[in-house]
Amino acid sequence: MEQLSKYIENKNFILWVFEPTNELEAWWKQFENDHPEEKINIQHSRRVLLKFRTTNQNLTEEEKILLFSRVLRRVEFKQRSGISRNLFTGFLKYAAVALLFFSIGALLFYKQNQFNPQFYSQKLAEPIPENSAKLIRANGEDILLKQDKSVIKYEAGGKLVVDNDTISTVISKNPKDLAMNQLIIPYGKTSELLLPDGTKVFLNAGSRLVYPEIFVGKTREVFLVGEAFFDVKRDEDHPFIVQVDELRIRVLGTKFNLSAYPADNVVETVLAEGKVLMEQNNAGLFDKAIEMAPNQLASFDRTTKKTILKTVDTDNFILWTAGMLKFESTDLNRITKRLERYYNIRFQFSDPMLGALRISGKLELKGGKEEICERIASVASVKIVKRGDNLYEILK
Amino acid sequence: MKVEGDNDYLQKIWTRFKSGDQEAFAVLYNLHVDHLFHYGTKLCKDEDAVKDALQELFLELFLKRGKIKVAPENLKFYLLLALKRKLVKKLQSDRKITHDINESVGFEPQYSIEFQIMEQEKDAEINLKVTNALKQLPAKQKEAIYLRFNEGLEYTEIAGILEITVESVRKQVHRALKSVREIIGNESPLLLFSFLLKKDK
Repeated sequence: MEQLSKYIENKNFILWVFEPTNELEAWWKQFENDHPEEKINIQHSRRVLLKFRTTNQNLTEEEKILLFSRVLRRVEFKQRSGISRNLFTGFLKYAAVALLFFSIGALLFYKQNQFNPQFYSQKLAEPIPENSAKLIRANGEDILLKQDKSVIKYEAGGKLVVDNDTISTVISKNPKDLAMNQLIIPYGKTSELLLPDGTKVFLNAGSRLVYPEIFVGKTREVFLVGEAFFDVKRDEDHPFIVQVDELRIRVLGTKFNLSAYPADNVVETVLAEGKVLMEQNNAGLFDKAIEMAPNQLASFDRTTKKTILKTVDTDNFILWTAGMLKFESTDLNRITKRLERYYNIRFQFSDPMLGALRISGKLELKGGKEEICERIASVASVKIVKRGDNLYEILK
Repeated sequence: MKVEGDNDYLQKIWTRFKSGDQEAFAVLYNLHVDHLFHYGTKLCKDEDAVKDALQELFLELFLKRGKIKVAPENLKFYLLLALKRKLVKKLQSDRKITHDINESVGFEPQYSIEFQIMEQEKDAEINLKVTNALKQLPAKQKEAIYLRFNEGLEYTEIAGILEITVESVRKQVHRALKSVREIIGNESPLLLFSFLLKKDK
Protein backbone atom coordinates (compact mmCIF):
# COMPACT_ATOMS: atom_id res chain seq x y z
CA MET A 1 0.00 0.00 0.00
CA GLU A 2 2.80 2.39 0.88
CA GLN A 3 4.34 2.17 -2.55
CA LEU A 4 1.16 3.15 -4.29
CA SER A 5 -0.09 5.67 -1.76
CA LYS A 6 2.98 7.69 -2.39
CA TYR A 7 1.63 8.38 -5.85
CA ILE A 8 -2.06 8.19 -5.31
CA GLU A 9 -1.81 10.75 -2.53
CA ASN A 10 0.21 13.07 -4.70
CA LYS A 11 -1.88 15.81 -6.28
CA ASN A 12 0.65 16.38 -8.98
CA PHE A 13 0.36 12.73 -9.90
CA ILE A 14 -3.44 12.84 -9.90
CA LEU A 15 -3.35 15.87 -12.12
CA TRP A 16 -1.01 14.13 -14.52
CA VAL A 17 -3.30 11.11 -14.77
CA PHE A 18 -6.52 13.07 -15.10
CA GLU A 19 -5.57 16.30 -16.81
CA PRO A 20 -2.16 15.78 -18.37
CA THR A 21 -0.30 18.77 -19.73
CA ASN A 22 2.98 18.79 -21.61
CA GLU A 23 4.73 20.09 -18.54
CA LEU A 24 3.43 17.32 -16.32
CA GLU A 25 4.13 14.75 -18.97
CA ALA A 26 7.74 15.89 -19.18
CA TRP A 27 8.12 16.00 -15.41
CA TRP A 28 6.93 12.46 -14.87
CA LYS A 29 8.88 11.11 -17.80
CA GLN A 30 12.00 12.59 -16.27
CA PHE A 31 11.09 11.14 -12.90
CA GLU A 32 10.68 7.70 -14.42
CA ASN A 33 14.06 7.96 -16.08
CA ASP A 34 15.71 9.03 -12.86
CA HIS A 35 14.03 6.27 -10.88
CA PRO A 36 13.67 3.25 -13.15
CA GLU A 37 12.81 1.04 -10.19
CA GLU A 38 9.66 3.12 -9.64
CA LYS A 39 8.35 2.55 -13.11
CA ILE A 40 6.19 -0.41 -12.23
CA ASN A 41 4.66 1.41 -9.26
CA ILE A 42 3.93 4.42 -11.35
CA GLN A 43 2.28 2.36 -14.01
CA HIS A 44 0.24 0.45 -11.52
CA SER A 45 -0.86 3.56 -9.65
CA ARG A 46 -1.83 5.12 -12.90
CA ARG A 47 -3.81 2.10 -13.90
CA VAL A 48 -5.68 2.03 -10.61
CA LEU A 49 -6.42 5.73 -10.73
CA LEU A 50 -7.69 5.61 -14.27
CA LYS A 51 -10.48 3.32 -13.21
CA PHE A 52 -11.97 6.22 -11.32
CA ARG A 53 -12.16 8.52 -14.25
CA THR A 54 -15.68 9.47 -15.11
CA THR A 55 -17.20 10.52 -18.37
CA ASN A 56 -18.55 14.01 -18.29
CA GLN A 57 -21.38 15.82 -19.89
CA ASN A 58 -19.97 18.93 -21.45
CA LEU A 59 -21.37 22.34 -22.13
CA THR A 60 -20.73 23.45 -25.67
CA GLU A 61 -18.94 26.78 -26.23
CA GLU A 62 -22.26 28.11 -27.37
CA GLU A 63 -24.01 27.08 -24.18
CA LYS A 64 -21.21 28.54 -22.09
CA ILE A 65 -21.40 31.89 -23.80
CA LEU A 66 -25.15 31.97 -23.63
CA LEU A 67 -25.05 31.18 -19.95
CA PHE A 68 -22.46 33.85 -19.28
CA SER A 69 -24.26 36.47 -21.29
CA ARG A 70 -27.38 35.78 -19.24
CA VAL A 71 -25.41 36.26 -16.06
CA LEU A 72 -23.91 39.52 -17.37
CA ARG A 73 -27.27 40.73 -18.40
CA ARG A 74 -28.70 40.10 -14.96
CA VAL A 75 -25.67 41.72 -13.36
CA GLU A 76 -26.18 44.85 -15.45
CA PHE A 77 -29.82 44.84 -14.61
CA LYS A 78 -29.18 44.64 -10.88
CA GLN A 79 -26.61 47.40 -11.10
CA ARG A 80 -28.73 49.66 -13.17
CA SER A 81 -29.42 51.86 -10.20
CA GLY A 82 -26.05 53.41 -10.85
CA ILE A 83 -23.20 51.68 -9.11
CA SER A 84 -20.29 52.21 -11.42
CA ARG A 85 -17.71 49.55 -11.84
CA ASN A 86 -14.03 50.02 -11.75
CA LEU A 87 -12.30 49.43 -14.96
CA PHE A 88 -9.26 47.94 -16.32
CA THR A 89 -6.26 49.94 -15.22
CA GLY A 90 -3.40 48.94 -17.44
CA PHE A 91 -1.92 45.77 -16.04
CA LEU A 92 -2.80 42.44 -17.58
CA LYS A 93 -3.36 44.05 -20.89
CA TYR A 94 -3.40 40.77 -22.69
CA ALA A 95 -5.98 39.23 -20.46
CA ALA A 96 -8.13 42.28 -20.93
CA VAL A 97 -7.96 42.12 -24.69
CA ALA A 98 -8.75 38.44 -24.66
CA LEU A 99 -11.67 38.96 -22.37
CA LEU A 100 -12.94 41.90 -24.19
CA PHE A 101 -13.46 39.49 -27.01
CA PHE A 102 -15.18 37.15 -24.68
CA SER A 103 -17.70 39.84 -23.85
CA ILE A 104 -18.05 40.90 -27.44
CA GLY A 105 -18.74 37.31 -28.35
CA ALA A 106 -21.40 37.16 -25.71
CA LEU A 107 -22.96 40.39 -26.89
CA LEU A 108 -22.93 39.25 -30.46
CA PHE A 109 -24.66 36.14 -29.40
CA TYR A 110 -27.54 37.50 -27.45
CA LYS A 111 -28.04 40.36 -29.77
CA GLN A 112 -28.22 38.43 -32.96
CA ASN A 113 -29.56 35.33 -31.36
CA GLN A 114 -27.40 33.27 -33.55
CA PHE A 115 -23.97 32.05 -32.92
CA ASN A 116 -21.08 31.34 -35.12
CA PRO A 117 -18.88 28.65 -33.64
CA GLN A 118 -16.00 29.70 -35.83
CA PHE A 119 -15.94 32.98 -34.02
CA TYR A 120 -14.43 31.15 -31.14
CA SER A 121 -12.21 28.71 -32.90
CA GLN A 122 -10.36 31.66 -34.33
CA LYS A 123 -7.95 32.10 -31.48
CA LEU A 124 -9.74 35.23 -30.46
CA ALA A 125 -8.37 34.88 -27.00
CA GLU A 126 -4.79 35.33 -28.09
CA PRO A 127 -2.92 38.47 -27.17
CA ILE A 128 -1.68 40.64 -30.01
CA PRO A 129 1.80 39.27 -30.64
CA GLU A 130 4.59 41.70 -31.29
CA ASN A 131 5.43 42.32 -34.91
CA SER A 132 3.01 39.90 -36.42
CA ALA A 133 0.26 41.59 -38.29
CA LYS A 134 -2.04 38.96 -39.62
CA LEU A 135 -5.35 38.15 -41.09
CA ILE A 136 -7.12 35.10 -39.70
CA ARG A 137 -9.72 33.80 -42.05
CA ALA A 138 -12.88 31.96 -41.10
CA ASN A 139 -11.45 28.70 -42.36
CA GLY A 140 -8.61 29.04 -39.86
CA GLU A 141 -6.05 30.11 -42.45
CA ASP A 142 -3.49 32.63 -41.17
CA ILE A 143 -2.16 35.18 -43.62
CA LEU A 144 0.89 37.01 -42.32
CA LEU A 145 1.10 40.66 -43.33
CA LYS A 146 4.66 41.66 -44.00
CA GLN A 147 4.21 45.31 -44.89
CA ASP A 148 4.24 48.04 -42.26
CA LYS A 149 1.08 49.28 -43.87
CA SER A 150 -0.78 46.37 -45.35
CA VAL A 151 -3.60 46.71 -47.84
CA ILE A 152 -6.40 44.15 -47.86
CA LYS A 153 -9.24 44.14 -50.32
CA TYR A 154 -12.36 42.04 -50.64
CA GLU A 155 -13.14 42.68 -54.26
CA ALA A 156 -16.29 42.13 -56.24
CA GLY A 157 -16.76 38.54 -57.29
CA GLY A 158 -15.48 37.32 -53.96
CA LYS A 159 -11.79 37.88 -54.58
CA LEU A 160 -9.49 38.49 -51.62
CA VAL A 161 -6.39 40.56 -52.38
CA VAL A 162 -3.67 41.04 -49.78
CA ASP A 163 -0.84 43.50 -50.54
CA ASN A 164 -1.54 43.11 -54.25
CA ASP A 165 -1.45 39.31 -54.17
CA THR A 166 -4.69 37.54 -54.87
CA ILE A 167 -4.98 35.04 -52.05
CA SER A 168 -8.10 33.17 -52.93
CA THR A 169 -11.73 33.54 -53.66
CA VAL A 170 -14.22 33.74 -50.89
CA ILE A 171 -16.26 30.59 -50.84
CA SER A 172 -18.99 30.98 -48.29
CA LYS A 173 -22.31 31.83 -49.90
CA ASN A 174 -24.55 30.32 -47.30
CA PRO A 175 -26.56 33.20 -45.84
CA LYS A 176 -26.60 31.59 -42.41
CA ASP A 177 -22.89 31.23 -42.36
CA LEU A 178 -21.47 34.35 -40.76
CA ALA A 179 -17.89 33.41 -41.43
CA MET A 180 -15.82 35.81 -39.35
CA ASN A 181 -12.41 37.11 -40.31
CA GLN A 182 -10.08 38.80 -37.92
CA LEU A 183 -7.48 41.38 -38.78
CA ILE A 184 -4.78 41.82 -36.14
CA ILE A 185 -2.47 44.83 -36.33
CA PRO A 186 0.22 45.08 -33.64
CA TYR A 187 1.99 48.21 -32.45
CA GLY A 188 4.20 49.74 -35.11
CA LYS A 189 1.93 48.78 -38.02
CA THR A 190 -1.25 49.92 -39.66
CA SER A 191 -3.58 48.53 -42.27
CA GLU A 192 -6.04 49.60 -44.89
CA LEU A 193 -8.98 47.33 -45.50
CA LEU A 194 -11.66 47.35 -48.14
CA LEU A 195 -14.68 45.39 -46.97
CA PRO A 196 -16.88 43.43 -49.39
CA ASP A 197 -19.59 46.12 -49.26
CA GLY A 198 -17.16 48.83 -50.38
CA THR A 199 -16.59 50.27 -46.91
CA LYS A 200 -13.03 51.37 -46.29
CA VAL A 201 -11.41 50.87 -42.91
CA PHE A 202 -8.05 52.21 -41.73
CA LEU A 203 -6.92 50.15 -38.79
CA ASN A 204 -4.46 51.83 -36.46
CA ALA A 205 -1.61 50.20 -34.54
CA GLY A 206 -2.48 47.81 -31.71
CA SER A 207 -5.98 47.05 -33.00
CA ARG A 208 -8.18 44.18 -34.03
CA LEU A 209 -11.16 44.12 -36.29
CA VAL A 210 -13.52 41.18 -36.60
CA TYR A 211 -15.80 41.20 -39.61
CA PRO A 212 -17.64 38.72 -41.81
CA GLU A 213 -16.20 37.58 -45.10
CA ILE A 214 -19.50 38.51 -46.70
CA PHE A 215 -22.17 40.67 -45.13
CA VAL A 216 -25.44 38.82 -44.77
CA GLY A 217 -28.64 39.71 -42.97
CA LYS A 218 -30.15 43.08 -42.19
CA THR A 219 -27.11 44.77 -40.78
CA ARG A 220 -23.43 45.01 -41.57
CA GLU A 221 -21.79 44.38 -38.25
CA VAL A 222 -18.11 44.50 -37.27
CA PHE A 223 -16.26 44.38 -33.95
CA LEU A 224 -13.40 46.64 -33.02
CA VAL A 225 -10.75 46.74 -30.32
CA GLY A 226 -8.37 49.66 -30.73
CA GLU A 227 -8.68 52.46 -33.23
CA ALA A 228 -10.03 52.65 -36.76
CA PHE A 229 -11.31 55.16 -39.25
CA PHE A 230 -14.36 54.08 -41.19
CA ASP A 231 -15.50 55.36 -44.55
CA VAL A 232 -18.81 53.56 -44.78
CA LYS A 233 -20.44 52.85 -48.12
CA ARG A 234 -23.98 54.12 -48.08
CA ASP A 235 -26.64 51.43 -47.96
CA GLU A 236 -29.82 52.55 -46.22
CA ASP A 237 -31.30 49.08 -46.14
CA HIS A 238 -28.32 47.64 -44.35
CA PRO A 239 -27.10 49.84 -41.49
CA PHE A 240 -23.42 49.53 -40.68
CA ILE A 241 -22.71 48.80 -37.03
CA VAL A 242 -19.40 48.96 -35.22
CA GLN A 243 -19.42 47.22 -31.93
CA VAL A 244 -16.92 48.07 -29.22
CA ASP A 245 -17.11 46.69 -25.71
CA GLU A 246 -19.95 48.78 -24.35
CA LEU A 247 -21.07 50.82 -27.30
CA ARG A 248 -22.36 50.36 -30.75
CA ILE A 249 -22.08 52.92 -33.46
CA ARG A 250 -24.83 52.66 -36.02
CA VAL A 251 -24.51 54.45 -39.34
CA LEU A 252 -25.92 54.42 -42.83
CA GLY A 253 -23.09 56.00 -44.76
CA THR A 254 -20.53 58.26 -43.14
CA LYS A 255 -16.93 58.88 -42.25
CA PHE A 256 -15.92 58.58 -38.65
CA ASN A 257 -13.06 57.68 -36.39
CA LEU A 258 -13.44 55.39 -33.43
CA SER A 259 -10.83 54.95 -30.73
CA ALA A 260 -11.49 52.24 -28.17
CA TYR A 261 -8.23 50.94 -26.78
CA PRO A 262 -8.69 48.69 -23.77
CA ALA A 263 -6.06 50.67 -21.87
CA ASP A 264 -7.91 53.96 -22.28
CA ASN A 265 -10.73 54.93 -20.04
CA VAL A 266 -12.57 56.77 -22.79
CA VAL A 267 -14.04 55.60 -26.06
CA GLU A 268 -13.89 58.43 -28.56
CA THR A 269 -16.01 58.74 -31.63
CA VAL A 270 -15.37 61.58 -34.04
CA LEU A 271 -17.72 62.20 -36.89
CA ALA A 272 -16.31 63.72 -40.07
CA GLU A 273 -19.33 63.44 -42.37
CA GLY A 274 -22.92 62.25 -42.28
CA LYS A 275 -24.77 61.00 -39.24
CA VAL A 276 -24.12 58.37 -36.63
CA LEU A 277 -26.10 56.99 -33.76
CA MET A 278 -24.16 55.97 -30.70
CA GLU A 279 -25.92 53.46 -28.51
CA GLN A 280 -24.88 52.47 -25.05
CA ASN A 281 -25.13 48.91 -23.99
CA ASN A 282 -27.06 48.94 -20.78
CA ALA A 283 -28.49 45.84 -19.22
CA GLY A 284 -27.67 44.03 -22.40
CA LEU A 285 -29.93 46.30 -24.38
CA PHE A 286 -28.75 49.17 -26.46
CA ASP A 287 -31.20 51.68 -25.25
CA LYS A 288 -29.42 54.97 -24.75
CA ALA A 289 -28.85 56.50 -28.13
CA ILE A 290 -26.93 59.67 -28.87
CA GLU A 291 -27.13 61.22 -32.30
CA MET A 292 -23.96 62.88 -33.49
CA ALA A 293 -23.52 65.69 -35.98
CA PRO A 294 -20.45 66.29 -38.17
CA ASN A 295 -17.36 67.70 -36.42
CA GLN A 296 -18.52 66.39 -33.09
CA LEU A 297 -16.51 64.31 -30.68
CA ALA A 298 -18.35 61.97 -28.35
CA SER A 299 -16.25 60.81 -25.39
CA PHE A 300 -17.77 57.94 -23.54
CA ASP A 301 -16.27 57.51 -20.08
CA ARG A 302 -16.11 53.83 -19.24
CA THR A 303 -16.22 54.47 -15.50
CA THR A 304 -19.05 56.95 -15.21
CA LYS A 305 -20.85 55.68 -18.33
CA LYS A 306 -21.37 59.29 -19.31
CA THR A 307 -20.92 60.66 -22.77
CA ILE A 308 -19.74 64.19 -23.45
CA LEU A 309 -20.31 65.80 -26.84
CA LYS A 310 -18.24 68.67 -28.16
CA THR A 311 -17.24 70.23 -31.44
CA VAL A 312 -13.69 69.61 -32.59
CA ASP A 313 -11.36 69.89 -35.52
CA THR A 314 -11.75 66.41 -37.00
CA ASP A 315 -8.32 66.59 -38.60
CA ASN A 316 -6.81 66.15 -35.16
CA PHE A 317 -8.38 62.74 -34.99
CA ILE A 318 -8.28 61.58 -38.56
CA LEU A 319 -4.97 62.65 -40.07
CA TRP A 320 -3.23 59.55 -38.76
CA THR A 321 -4.77 57.70 -41.68
CA ALA A 322 -2.60 59.86 -43.93
CA GLY A 323 0.51 59.29 -41.84
CA MET A 324 0.23 62.55 -39.92
CA LEU A 325 -0.74 63.66 -36.44
CA LYS A 326 -2.25 67.01 -35.68
CA PHE A 327 -2.54 68.42 -32.21
CA GLU A 328 -4.25 71.43 -30.75
CA SER A 329 -3.27 72.14 -27.22
CA THR A 330 -3.00 68.42 -26.57
CA ASP A 331 -1.14 67.14 -23.53
CA LEU A 332 2.11 65.29 -23.95
CA ASN A 333 0.71 62.19 -22.24
CA ARG A 334 -1.77 61.72 -24.99
CA ILE A 335 0.68 62.41 -27.74
CA THR A 336 3.27 59.98 -26.44
CA LYS A 337 0.61 57.32 -26.07
CA ARG A 338 -0.24 57.65 -29.75
CA LEU A 339 3.40 57.60 -30.75
CA GLU A 340 4.07 54.55 -28.60
CA ARG A 341 1.45 52.66 -30.53
CA TYR A 342 2.43 53.95 -33.90
CA TYR A 343 6.15 53.20 -33.57
CA ASN A 344 6.00 50.40 -31.02
CA ILE A 345 8.23 52.32 -28.64
CA ARG A 346 7.94 53.41 -24.96
CA PHE A 347 8.26 56.81 -23.34
CA GLN A 348 9.10 57.54 -19.74
CA PHE A 349 8.67 60.86 -18.02
CA SER A 350 11.39 61.84 -15.57
CA ASP A 351 8.74 64.00 -13.93
CA PRO A 352 5.10 63.01 -14.36
CA MET A 353 4.17 66.70 -14.52
CA LEU A 354 5.83 66.88 -17.91
CA GLY A 355 3.02 64.75 -19.28
CA ALA A 356 0.66 67.63 -18.71
CA LEU A 357 2.51 69.99 -21.06
CA ARG A 358 0.31 71.00 -23.94
CA ILE A 359 1.50 71.43 -27.48
CA SER A 360 -0.01 72.20 -30.85
CA GLY A 361 1.20 71.36 -34.31
CA LYS A 362 1.39 68.83 -37.07
CA LEU A 363 3.72 65.85 -37.14
CA GLU A 364 4.73 63.80 -40.14
CA LEU A 365 4.94 60.22 -39.03
CA LYS A 366 6.77 58.95 -42.07
CA GLY A 367 10.06 60.37 -40.90
CA GLY A 368 10.76 57.70 -38.34
CA LYS A 369 10.92 57.70 -34.57
CA GLU A 370 14.17 59.61 -34.07
CA GLU A 371 12.94 62.50 -36.14
CA ILE A 372 9.62 62.57 -34.31
CA CYS A 373 11.37 62.68 -30.95
CA GLU A 374 13.42 65.66 -32.09
CA ARG A 375 10.34 67.49 -33.26
CA ILE A 376 8.44 66.86 -30.05
CA ALA A 377 11.45 67.91 -28.00
CA SER A 378 11.76 71.23 -29.80
CA VAL A 379 8.03 72.05 -29.79
CA ALA A 380 7.53 71.16 -26.13
CA SER A 381 10.92 72.48 -24.99
CA VAL A 382 11.93 69.22 -23.37
CA LYS A 383 14.80 66.80 -23.82
CA ILE A 384 14.17 63.32 -25.18
CA VAL A 385 16.95 60.86 -24.49
CA LYS A 386 17.18 57.37 -25.88
CA ARG A 387 17.46 54.91 -22.98
CA GLY A 388 17.17 51.61 -24.75
CA ASP A 389 16.28 49.97 -28.00
CA ASN A 390 12.75 51.26 -27.99
CA LEU A 391 12.75 53.28 -24.81
CA TYR A 392 12.92 57.05 -24.55
CA GLU A 393 13.00 59.28 -21.52
CA ILE A 394 11.51 62.74 -21.49
CA LEU A 395 13.38 65.25 -19.30
CA LYS A 396 13.12 68.94 -18.57
CA MET B 1 -2.73 32.49 -21.93
CA LYS B 2 -1.60 30.89 -18.73
CA VAL B 3 -4.47 30.21 -16.43
CA GLU B 4 -4.21 27.39 -13.98
CA GLY B 5 -1.45 26.89 -11.52
CA ASP B 6 -0.24 30.43 -11.64
CA ASN B 7 -1.13 31.84 -8.26
CA ASP B 8 0.13 35.27 -9.01
CA TYR B 9 -2.08 35.46 -12.05
CA LEU B 10 -5.06 34.12 -10.13
CA GLN B 11 -4.51 36.67 -7.39
CA LYS B 12 -4.49 39.50 -9.90
CA ILE B 13 -7.61 38.24 -11.57
CA TRP B 14 -9.26 37.86 -8.20
CA THR B 15 -8.36 41.40 -7.15
CA ARG B 16 -9.75 42.74 -10.38
CA PHE B 17 -12.86 40.66 -10.00
CA LYS B 18 -13.34 41.97 -6.47
CA SER B 19 -13.25 45.51 -7.77
CA GLY B 20 -16.08 44.65 -10.12
CA ASP B 21 -14.22 44.02 -13.33
CA GLN B 22 -16.39 42.03 -15.70
CA GLU B 23 -13.50 40.82 -17.79
CA ALA B 24 -11.92 39.25 -14.74
CA PHE B 25 -15.30 37.78 -14.00
CA ALA B 26 -15.27 36.16 -17.44
CA VAL B 27 -11.88 34.61 -16.71
CA LEU B 28 -13.16 33.07 -13.50
CA TYR B 29 -16.26 31.87 -15.24
CA ASN B 30 -14.24 30.16 -17.96
CA LEU B 31 -11.92 28.68 -15.41
CA HIS B 32 -14.63 26.97 -13.41
CA VAL B 33 -17.75 26.47 -15.47
CA ASP B 34 -16.73 23.11 -16.93
CA HIS B 35 -15.87 21.50 -13.62
CA LEU B 36 -19.04 22.82 -12.07
CA PHE B 37 -21.19 21.48 -14.85
CA HIS B 38 -19.51 18.07 -14.70
CA TYR B 39 -20.10 17.87 -10.99
CA GLY B 40 -23.61 19.27 -11.14
CA THR B 41 -24.83 16.79 -13.73
CA LYS B 42 -23.66 13.96 -11.52
CA LEU B 43 -25.73 15.26 -8.64
CA CYS B 44 -28.75 16.05 -10.72
CA LYS B 45 -29.76 14.46 -13.99
CA ASP B 46 -31.72 17.48 -15.16
CA GLU B 47 -29.25 19.48 -17.26
CA ASP B 48 -31.45 22.55 -17.41
CA ALA B 49 -31.75 22.64 -13.65
CA VAL B 50 -27.95 22.50 -13.43
CA LYS B 51 -27.64 25.36 -15.91
CA ASP B 52 -30.14 27.44 -13.98
CA ALA B 53 -28.24 26.77 -10.80
CA LEU B 54 -24.99 27.81 -12.49
CA GLN B 55 -26.55 31.03 -13.63
CA GLU B 56 -27.68 31.83 -10.11
CA LEU B 57 -24.33 30.82 -8.75
CA PHE B 58 -22.31 33.15 -10.97
CA LEU B 59 -24.77 35.98 -10.57
CA GLU B 60 -24.46 35.75 -6.80
CA LEU B 61 -20.72 35.36 -7.02
CA PHE B 62 -20.56 38.69 -8.79
CA LEU B 63 -23.11 40.54 -6.72
CA LYS B 64 -21.78 39.30 -3.40
CA ARG B 65 -18.12 39.46 -4.34
CA GLY B 66 -17.43 42.05 -1.67
CA LYS B 67 -18.50 39.69 1.09
CA ILE B 68 -16.86 36.53 -0.14
CA LYS B 69 -13.92 35.61 2.01
CA VAL B 70 -12.14 32.92 0.11
CA ALA B 71 -8.61 32.67 -1.21
CA PRO B 72 -8.62 32.47 -5.01
CA GLU B 73 -7.00 29.05 -4.96
CA ASN B 74 -9.93 27.73 -2.92
CA LEU B 75 -12.53 29.23 -5.19
CA LYS B 76 -13.18 25.92 -6.91
CA PHE B 77 -14.11 24.31 -3.61
CA TYR B 78 -16.26 27.26 -2.69
CA LEU B 79 -18.14 27.10 -5.98
CA LEU B 80 -18.60 23.32 -5.94
CA LEU B 81 -20.10 23.53 -2.48
CA ALA B 82 -22.33 26.46 -3.36
CA LEU B 83 -23.55 24.65 -6.48
CA LYS B 84 -24.34 21.56 -4.50
CA ARG B 85 -26.34 23.57 -1.96
CA LYS B 86 -28.34 25.15 -4.76
CA LEU B 87 -29.08 21.84 -6.41
CA VAL B 88 -30.03 20.19 -3.15
CA LYS B 89 -32.39 23.04 -2.34
CA LYS B 90 -33.95 22.77 -5.75
CA LEU B 91 -34.35 19.01 -5.58
CA GLN B 92 -35.80 19.24 -2.10
CA SER B 93 -38.37 21.82 -3.04
CA ASP B 94 -39.31 19.76 -6.10
CA ARG B 95 -39.99 16.78 -3.92
CA LYS B 96 -41.45 18.87 -1.15
CA ILE B 97 -39.38 17.18 1.46
CA THR B 98 -36.65 18.38 3.71
CA HIS B 99 -33.71 16.29 4.49
CA ASP B 100 -30.13 16.80 5.30
CA ILE B 101 -27.96 17.94 2.44
CA ASN B 102 -26.47 14.60 1.59
CA GLU B 103 -29.50 12.39 1.87
CA SER B 104 -31.68 13.96 -0.73
CA VAL B 105 -29.25 13.82 -3.62
CA GLY B 106 -27.61 10.86 -5.17
CA PHE B 107 -24.36 10.86 -6.97
CA GLU B 108 -24.30 8.98 -10.21
CA PRO B 109 -21.13 9.16 -12.22
CA GLN B 110 -20.50 7.17 -15.35
CA TYR B 111 -17.06 5.70 -15.26
CA SER B 112 -15.16 6.07 -18.46
CA ILE B 113 -13.84 2.52 -18.35
CA GLU B 114 -17.28 1.38 -19.35
CA PHE B 115 -16.65 2.90 -22.72
CA GLN B 116 -13.06 1.97 -23.16
CA ILE B 117 -12.44 -0.46 -25.90
CA MET B 118 -10.13 -3.04 -24.51
CA GLU B 119 -7.86 -4.99 -26.71
CA GLN B 120 -7.35 -7.73 -24.22
CA GLU B 121 -10.14 -9.86 -23.02
CA LYS B 122 -8.59 -9.87 -19.62
CA ASP B 123 -8.79 -6.11 -19.38
CA ALA B 124 -12.37 -6.12 -20.48
CA GLU B 125 -13.15 -8.57 -17.75
CA ILE B 126 -11.35 -6.51 -15.15
CA ASN B 127 -13.09 -3.37 -16.24
CA LEU B 128 -16.46 -4.96 -16.00
CA LYS B 129 -15.69 -6.07 -12.49
CA VAL B 130 -14.32 -2.70 -11.50
CA THR B 131 -17.32 -0.90 -12.92
CA ASN B 132 -19.69 -3.16 -11.05
CA ALA B 133 -17.74 -2.73 -7.86
CA LEU B 134 -17.70 1.05 -8.21
CA LYS B 135 -21.40 1.15 -8.90
CA GLN B 136 -22.06 -0.74 -5.70
CA LEU B 137 -20.31 1.91 -3.62
CA PRO B 138 -22.47 4.21 -1.50
CA ALA B 139 -23.21 7.56 -3.13
CA LYS B 140 -21.12 9.43 -0.60
CA GLN B 141 -18.11 7.30 -1.31
CA LYS B 142 -18.51 7.77 -5.04
CA GLU B 143 -18.72 11.48 -4.52
CA ALA B 144 -15.63 11.47 -2.32
CA ILE B 145 -13.51 9.67 -4.88
CA TYR B 146 -14.88 11.81 -7.65
CA LEU B 147 -13.96 15.00 -5.81
CA ARG B 148 -10.56 13.64 -4.93
CA PHE B 149 -9.48 12.33 -8.30
CA ASN B 150 -11.58 14.00 -10.96
CA GLU B 151 -11.65 17.39 -9.27
CA GLY B 152 -8.38 17.18 -7.38
CA LEU B 153 -9.74 18.59 -4.13
CA GLU B 154 -7.99 18.34 -0.76
CA TYR B 155 -9.34 15.98 1.87
CA THR B 156 -10.35 18.90 4.06
CA GLU B 157 -12.31 20.41 1.19
CA ILE B 158 -14.08 17.15 0.44
CA ALA B 159 -14.95 16.85 4.12
CA GLY B 160 -16.52 20.30 3.91
CA ILE B 161 -18.67 19.36 0.93
CA LEU B 162 -19.77 15.98 2.26
CA GLU B 163 -20.15 17.25 5.81
CA ILE B 164 -18.13 14.42 7.26
CA THR B 165 -14.78 14.34 9.01
CA VAL B 166 -11.50 14.47 7.15
CA GLU B 167 -10.63 11.10 8.59
CA SER B 168 -13.70 9.48 7.20
CA VAL B 169 -13.11 11.02 3.76
CA ARG B 170 -9.68 9.50 3.84
CA LYS B 171 -11.17 6.17 4.82
CA GLN B 172 -13.77 6.28 2.05
CA VAL B 173 -11.18 7.04 -0.59
CA HIS B 174 -8.85 4.35 0.65
CA ARG B 175 -11.58 1.78 0.76
CA ALA B 176 -12.55 2.50 -2.81
CA LEU B 177 -8.94 2.33 -3.91
CA LYS B 178 -8.44 -0.91 -2.11
CA SER B 179 -11.39 -2.62 -3.73
CA VAL B 180 -10.24 -1.58 -7.18
CA ARG B 181 -6.73 -2.71 -6.51
CA GLU B 182 -7.92 -6.05 -5.31
CA ILE B 183 -9.85 -6.64 -8.47
CA ILE B 184 -6.96 -5.63 -10.65
CA GLY B 185 -4.48 -7.50 -8.52
CA ASN B 186 -6.36 -10.78 -8.52
CA GLU B 187 -6.93 -10.78 -12.21
CA SER B 188 -3.57 -9.83 -13.52
CA PRO B 189 -0.62 -12.11 -12.82
CA LEU B 190 1.96 -9.40 -13.40
CA LEU B 191 0.23 -6.91 -11.22
CA LEU B 192 -0.62 -9.49 -8.64
CA PHE B 193 3.07 -10.12 -8.41
CA SER B 194 3.87 -6.49 -7.85
CA PHE B 195 1.02 -6.24 -5.42
CA LEU B 196 2.43 -9.11 -3.36
CA LEU B 197 5.85 -7.62 -3.46
CA LYS B 198 4.51 -4.48 -1.97
CA LYS B 199 2.69 -6.34 0.74
CA ASP B 200 5.96 -7.85 1.83
CA LYS B 201 7.57 -4.53 2.40
